[in-house]
Amino acid sequence: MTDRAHRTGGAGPAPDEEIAIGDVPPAARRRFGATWWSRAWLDALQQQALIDPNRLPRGRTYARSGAVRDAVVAAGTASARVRGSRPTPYQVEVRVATFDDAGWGRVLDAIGGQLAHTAALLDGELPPSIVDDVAAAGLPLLPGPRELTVSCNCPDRAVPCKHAAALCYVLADLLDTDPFALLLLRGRPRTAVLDALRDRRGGTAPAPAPSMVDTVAAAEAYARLPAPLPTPLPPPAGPGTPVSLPATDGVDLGALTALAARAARRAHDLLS
Amino acid sequence: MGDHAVHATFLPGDPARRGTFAFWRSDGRISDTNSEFVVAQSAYGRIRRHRTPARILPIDAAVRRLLDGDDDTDSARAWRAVVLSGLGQLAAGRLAPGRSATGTAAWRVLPDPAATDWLHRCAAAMPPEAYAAPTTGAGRALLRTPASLITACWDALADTLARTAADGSPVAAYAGDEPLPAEPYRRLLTAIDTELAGSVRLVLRLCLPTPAEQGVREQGVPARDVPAPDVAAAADGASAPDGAAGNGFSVALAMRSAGDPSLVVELARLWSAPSEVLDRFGADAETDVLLALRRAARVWPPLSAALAEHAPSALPLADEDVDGLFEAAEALGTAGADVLWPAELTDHSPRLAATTKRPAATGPAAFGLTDLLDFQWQATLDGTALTEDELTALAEAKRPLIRLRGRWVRVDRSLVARLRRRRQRVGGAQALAAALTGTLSTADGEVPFTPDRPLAELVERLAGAGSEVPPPDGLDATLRPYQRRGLGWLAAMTGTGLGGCLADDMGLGKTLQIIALHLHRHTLHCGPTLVCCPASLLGNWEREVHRFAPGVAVRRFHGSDRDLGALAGDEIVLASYGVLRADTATLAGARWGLVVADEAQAAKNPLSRTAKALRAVPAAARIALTGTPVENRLTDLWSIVDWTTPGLLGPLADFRRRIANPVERYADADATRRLATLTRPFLLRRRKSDPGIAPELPPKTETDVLVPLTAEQTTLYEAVVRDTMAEIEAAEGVARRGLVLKLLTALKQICNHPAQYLGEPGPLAGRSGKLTALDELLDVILAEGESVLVFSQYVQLCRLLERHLADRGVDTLLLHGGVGVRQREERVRRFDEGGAPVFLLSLKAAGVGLNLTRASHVIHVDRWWNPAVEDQATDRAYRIGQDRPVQVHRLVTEHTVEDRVAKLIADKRALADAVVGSGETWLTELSDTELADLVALS
Repeated sequence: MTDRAHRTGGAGPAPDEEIAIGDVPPAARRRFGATWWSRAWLDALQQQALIDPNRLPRGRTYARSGAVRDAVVAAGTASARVRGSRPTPYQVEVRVATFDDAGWGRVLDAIGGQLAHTAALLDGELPPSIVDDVAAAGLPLLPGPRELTVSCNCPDRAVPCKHAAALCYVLADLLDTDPFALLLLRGRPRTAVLDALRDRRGGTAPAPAPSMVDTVAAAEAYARLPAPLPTPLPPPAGPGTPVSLPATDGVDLGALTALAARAARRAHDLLS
Repeated sequence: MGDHAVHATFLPGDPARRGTFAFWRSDGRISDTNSEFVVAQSAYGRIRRHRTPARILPIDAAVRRLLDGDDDTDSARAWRAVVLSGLGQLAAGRLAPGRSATGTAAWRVLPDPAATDWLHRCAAAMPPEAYAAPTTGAGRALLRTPASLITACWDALADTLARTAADGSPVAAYAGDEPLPAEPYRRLLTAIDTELAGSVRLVLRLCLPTPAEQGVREQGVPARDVPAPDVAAAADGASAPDGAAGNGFSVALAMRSAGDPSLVVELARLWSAPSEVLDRFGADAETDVLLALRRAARVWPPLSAALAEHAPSALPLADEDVDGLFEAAEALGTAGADVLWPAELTDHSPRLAATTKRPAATGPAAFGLTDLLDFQWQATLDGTALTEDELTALAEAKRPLIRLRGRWVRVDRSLVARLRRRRQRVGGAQALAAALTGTLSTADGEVPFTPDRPLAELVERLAGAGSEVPPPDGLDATLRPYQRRGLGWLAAMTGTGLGGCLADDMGLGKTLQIIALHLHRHTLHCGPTLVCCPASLLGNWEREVHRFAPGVAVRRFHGSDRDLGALAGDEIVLASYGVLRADTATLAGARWGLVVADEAQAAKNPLSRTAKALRAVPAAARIALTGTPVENRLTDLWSIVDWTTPGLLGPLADFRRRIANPVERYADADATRRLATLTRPFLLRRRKSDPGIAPELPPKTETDVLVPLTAEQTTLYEAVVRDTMAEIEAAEGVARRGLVLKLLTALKQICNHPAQYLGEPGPLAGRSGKLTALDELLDVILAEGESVLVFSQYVQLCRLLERHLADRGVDTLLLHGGVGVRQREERVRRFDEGGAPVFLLSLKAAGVGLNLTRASHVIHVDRWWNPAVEDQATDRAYRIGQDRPVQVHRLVTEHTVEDRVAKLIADKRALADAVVGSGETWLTELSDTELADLVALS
């Protein structure tokens, strides 16, 4: 059955106070920093690493090889266990300076100034205008090198060590698809942010959604009296143009649309 | 007619294309079983899981079976409706890539709001058998909900139809059959989930400027604190929100539930009272609206101005942007935003109508179906034609909306373009169809049509056809009132050259009405008449022409020496459909005043050679006769009407698409109405049960059905006559009597069926003319849903018929002398209740007081040859003709002893007293010569 009940990626209903990334599976080709804001995040990391640039490539390798386990993001902090050369994984933590209430007030006012900002965040995007508006209120949304603190219990003295770097790359991946993770690192989870934005527009929080139930007891099914059968929906006069697919990099939308058009023609033939 | 026992259950698969349908029966006796599955059934109030045999089919085969097959249970009909609706969504292009529960790439359907609504209604209508496959093996039996299964079925259709066998596609996971992970498409699928499958839709309501401020144009800025208007006013679309730009166009923003399109709320309310709104729309609604706004703004840029505010409710619109809104409307719909036009614009748009123009002096007789008529476009607004000035204003308008007659009116560029192409042509038959239904079918769709005077008068004449015509000279019969009306109708339809189909029930005298028509047309010097019919009816036609129109020459164009020479102007020529196919060129070469197709359902398949041969014979007028309700299968109706009145119903593919499919599959009321108005003038059908007719019918109508002998029968017949006559001539007295009876019995049996004479159990088909005729008769009788008694002297023949009819799928009952009293009563009761339509009886059953009044037809396959023991005795015994008029058919083999004995009996009726006893021994008193004459094949 196609997965309808859940939405993954940018607009998923995450459990509130933390984002559990879990074990990061190995993926040899993973590119980190696909979006401009995750690259800005990585820039901060790289500026910290000016002291010893060799650690970063090792960190990327670890992030790609499945060494990062139990990664979790919470307010102002992210942690994971990273396997190094020793059998016991190392405990890594990345701390980000959070905004206080007054700071958050200014951030939310800036985001709330345009509906387009909230829409973009929900769409998995962090437009530069948000960062600019928040900066105009005196706050940097994206953490600079001084706002990042990394710690790891490995013997390596470099900051960041390769294990910490690995976690930072994993976080960059998360930021690519979920800018709310950035806001969480700055101190507030997604629902709290959305609620606050809603309040600023003038209202109170919503009621919880009813759960989707997918099965019914057979006894109940046989006891029910079915309604009269509706006549089938009328077909279109000719095969229609397929629904346009959202633009996505790296996917041959033309080939998919051609397959869909073919399905439309075959369906139309079956009905004639 | 369908199978009322086979259930259909959908079994979803992963990925979706692996879904299957199980066809099964409650009693487990499904034919062509190929597997089994576990079903949960209810028995005595308890749920029981058990394995049942089933025919399990993959999606493509199952779709064919559901759409074309006969399964008629509630569950089969429900899944048929689901498949039709799903295919409709796919045909409209509403599908997208998705993923299965195990993360495999699979296509899915994206239902539009109407389809989502339909899905829920259908789910409420599903009977339990349709979704009775339990998900658990033990414990409480749980079933997947109907709604989730309908979704899964639609996804299975999408996943099957979108795939090809092609290798090397750049999107192999969605192109080939091998299951592949959907992970590489994660981003796309996420985007689809959020952008395309949302449950809430945006509504952009176009608001018109208030007329007072026409001249002054300001860029009005919408106020921030707009009081939320009523939901009702929003749905009505009447006016712009208060305080918003009243001087120019504007767009009011609202949201609508995809599942319940009547639930519409202004966005302002979402901002001011979110908990109330989200309660009704669901917690995801706010996200859906924001994402929809974002997508819509990409497709129609002026909307981004709304996004630049923090809580937008309306958007002022420059004139030039309104055009863009019209053009972007379709793309906006795909993006999840519906544009709502003010009612004023759609109700009061200029409409296009078509009309033909000919001078009124053209007489109706000059109208031909193949004529080409000029037709013109007309534009009307609110029912009145547009003046030249108004047309110019429309054609020259630079803006998408202009003021016309004090109102805003949409400028439809395509309408203007069509108005420019002033003159066009249409065929006579098409114009007639348009005049009847009020709309003309053009390449641009259905357009209202106004006929000119001659066409309108023709339509009036058609409506009034059927007024009585004086009985023609030369007719040796009295026409009943309904037959006089039938003659009048036939005369009008043939007089105008338009043709028609006479579909009276069997027994109401179609043959007589045609003979009267021929005589009527003879006074108009129309030319000879050709009657095409099944071979078994040639004899009947000839007899009836002789009987009712003795002065008319009739010839059978049949046999190897058939010939069409010296054709008289008032002659009737009879030809079987077989000869018509074989000799089309000869028949087409003559100039016929009238061509009649009897039992026209023989040509119901438009591609058959019979149908093509019929069309090849030109005629001034064409009439089709049929007794079966031909309106049951619309393509059959098309074939007949397309022959009698070519072009009226248009090409078959168009007819199927515009009328047959909508009526038969989707119960479309408008298409049904159009079909009725089109065909009513050309179809005359009276039923025996009609109030004016039943009292006029005699209790019993008798017809002789003259059938030919097959070659095998002829050989046997001649051999037996030769051998036995020789013996008879040499014998005397008792021995001679015995031989005569033996001869007559043998000949009777041969005339019935060679298998009966030879004592064989079969084969049966194609060896006896009587059997063929019986099959043809039963086809018509059973199609009318009536019951029939079939009598024979011989039990053996009844048994042969029982087996033959069972092979053809006809339920029968059998009664003969050897059947016990209780069994006899049981079978009679079953017949009376309609358990089987055909009752085979051997005359020796000699039942007294059996109630067989349900039968409206009686067929005597063979007869007793004794005038004293007439059918009346049988009739009394079975009370035939007492409750309802009955038609009696006697099968008689032509030119044989049966034929002649029948005549003999009719002659000797007056001398019935001279015949002693109830047997056939009186025949043994005939002399050798008389006997030889009697039995000779001539």
